[in-house]
Amino acid sequence: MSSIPHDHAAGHGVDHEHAHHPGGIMRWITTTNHKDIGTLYLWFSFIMFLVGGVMALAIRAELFQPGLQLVEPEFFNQLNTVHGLVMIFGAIMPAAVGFANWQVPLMIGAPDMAFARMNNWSFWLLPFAAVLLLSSFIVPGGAASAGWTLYPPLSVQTGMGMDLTIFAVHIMGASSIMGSINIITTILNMRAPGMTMMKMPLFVWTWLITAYLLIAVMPVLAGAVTMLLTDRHFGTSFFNAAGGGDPVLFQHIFWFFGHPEVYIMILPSFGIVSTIIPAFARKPLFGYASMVYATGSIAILSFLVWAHHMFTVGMPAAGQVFFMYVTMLIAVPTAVKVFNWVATMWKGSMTFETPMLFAIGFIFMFTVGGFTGLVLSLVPVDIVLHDTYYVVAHFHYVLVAGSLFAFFGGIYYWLPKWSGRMYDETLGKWHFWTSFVFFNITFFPMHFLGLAGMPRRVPDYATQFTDWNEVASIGAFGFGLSQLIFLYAVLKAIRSGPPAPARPWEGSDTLDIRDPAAGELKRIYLKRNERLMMEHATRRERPVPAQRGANMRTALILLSIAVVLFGGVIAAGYSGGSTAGIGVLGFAIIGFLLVAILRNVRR
Amino acid sequence: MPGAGIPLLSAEPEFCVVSRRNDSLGSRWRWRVYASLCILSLGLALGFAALGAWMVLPYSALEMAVLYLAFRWIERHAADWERISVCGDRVIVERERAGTRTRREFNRYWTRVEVEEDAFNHSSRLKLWFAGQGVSFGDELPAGKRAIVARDLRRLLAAR
Repeated sequence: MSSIPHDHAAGHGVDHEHAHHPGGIMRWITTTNHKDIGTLYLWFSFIMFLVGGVMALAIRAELFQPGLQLVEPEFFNQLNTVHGLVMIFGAIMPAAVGFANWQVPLMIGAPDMAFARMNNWSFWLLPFAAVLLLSSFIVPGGAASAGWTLYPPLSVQTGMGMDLTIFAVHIMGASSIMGSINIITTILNMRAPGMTMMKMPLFVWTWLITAYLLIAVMPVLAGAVTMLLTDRHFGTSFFNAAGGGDPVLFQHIFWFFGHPEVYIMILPSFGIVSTIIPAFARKPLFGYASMVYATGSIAILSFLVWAHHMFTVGMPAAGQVFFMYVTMLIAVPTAVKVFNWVATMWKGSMTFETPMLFAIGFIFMFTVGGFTGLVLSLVPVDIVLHDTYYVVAHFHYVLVAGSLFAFFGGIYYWLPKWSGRMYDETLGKWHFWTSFVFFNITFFPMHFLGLAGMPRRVPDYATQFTDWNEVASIGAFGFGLSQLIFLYAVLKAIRSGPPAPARPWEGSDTLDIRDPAAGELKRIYLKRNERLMMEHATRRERPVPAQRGANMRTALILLSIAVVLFGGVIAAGYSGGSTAGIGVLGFAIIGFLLVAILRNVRR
Repeated sequence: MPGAGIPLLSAEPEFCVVSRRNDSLGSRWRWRVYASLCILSLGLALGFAALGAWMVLPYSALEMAVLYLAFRWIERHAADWERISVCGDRVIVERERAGTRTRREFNRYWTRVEVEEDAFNHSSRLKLWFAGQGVSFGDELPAGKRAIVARDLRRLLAAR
């Protein structure tokens, strides 16, 4: 991926003297430019996404029918474990850092990241970690098979694949810490004149808070896996019950890292969606300050809910009630965000290009994932649903349709600026619709499977679960193939896409899209909101454009999908009134969103 | 405050540009942020140590040490500046890096201004050449502003 040179004016009438730089692979190994490193992060994360995706397809192929068909149970457990680790540490987190590398300096008007060389090291640690993690498949005993949570006693007892996994996690943690230190120092110290904290784009805010979370919890993960290592090889008994240790202590430590980790993966996505929606609704983000405070509230609450992952482990009733209510409390700032995204669309001049489709898809499906999270926060329900496919459905709605869809939207949104070329809108829409449909075919039936009692992490299952497993497996292969459309669309854009205009999305008003010019920074940020309001007021007077019909059609399709989705949640409520109630509530909120869309398609 | 800590020029220059990084946080807030992170990270680590999981503590301390070095580096370079001025027949480039001040003078008539377009790093660099020696200027300036400085300087030097 190349980028647009930002300094065209400097080139005219000048004797150029090109600096000597290494070519080929050395160019990428030695680069300290934030854009190059962002590109490296994004390609790395996409490759890891494909690797983790192939593992997922192997899992789904095995689960297509009951009985053991393709893989041994031990290997199935290894696939499950490494799939989770690869997707979390290899795909989602590096992709978020890739976006930060590309966009944060551009959005705050900084020349580069604060520590460019450390930025290079942060990235180049990752491929080594990935090799360590994946090579664990070929060592005696195979890869780690204790699940991505690495719970003892399994993780204390398994072969050397677990050691490689521990080292890989260490290295990826070090990379994350260096990245977050770089991001914090850049955002805090290198903003352009006039850009106060409360004028920063929301993407920058979400990344600042994410970096705080990373700084807080990465040592916890590092400590936890080091104690696992010493339990395995150096005779300690932190978690080894045989030596007087406590396996439950590991679960507390792990989830103290693990729950903020969920927000580390989702907050940058909130930032991306908060950038895309105002651009295509052609309105400033509704409730900017409340979005900032909601993000901060989510981050603080994320430290107080870890034990909701452990309701079945055993804890005092008072503890269960505390963690249940605090978990439910997270719905409040999250709802503020969903409300603000909807309110941003309300009476906006909306169009539905691919980034906007992914952003709306994100809101729909993240909301589904959020509501199923609420279901799981209820102690009595969680005790029934714990370790079932309902949980698998829940976190895939949050992390795939949440994080991943936002990243897809972000890539389509910024690709014209990154590559200087426009992507093919038709291909982008195909990618969205196939991903959206196949994702739901894959993961929505898992709610039914979980409610009916199918446990997760099993290679075989009772025959009554066959139908929905078949549907889910077909959906998974469709979803996997859909990503090839994405790869083709990106490569086609980079190689032969039509040149992108300097400002590809006229509704966008962040520095990165506006191509900053000297002296303009201060004015942009001091006058941004007022001017946008005026532009919006003027735009409302425009006549109805011809594309209204197409937008109505898009909105109606989205409405139909919402009806099916939430109708399904309600139908699935046969096992408990709370599920049905939350389904109804979700239906009402998404209905509100759709009314906003229907009322405000571009006119 | 723009210009704070930069010495006055001895004569009225025909052309003068000062380039300095915008220290958007300031020293006091920088250390407050650091203290807040220390309290958060070390507080959590001490809590885990009290529960027996003391191995979180060394990682937390290491992380805070690295963050300290990063903030210290930023602090040392927060007041860095560089100035290019044209006074009579001299082109003067002064700069202060981490408290160390340097000054270079060039003969105006023999000085060449170049903008190195760095396609590799997607950036440009303003460079002055004199008697085979080059000195760069304006790395902290926005790209657009750097281009304007190069254009104005080139016109000024060519005018004699």
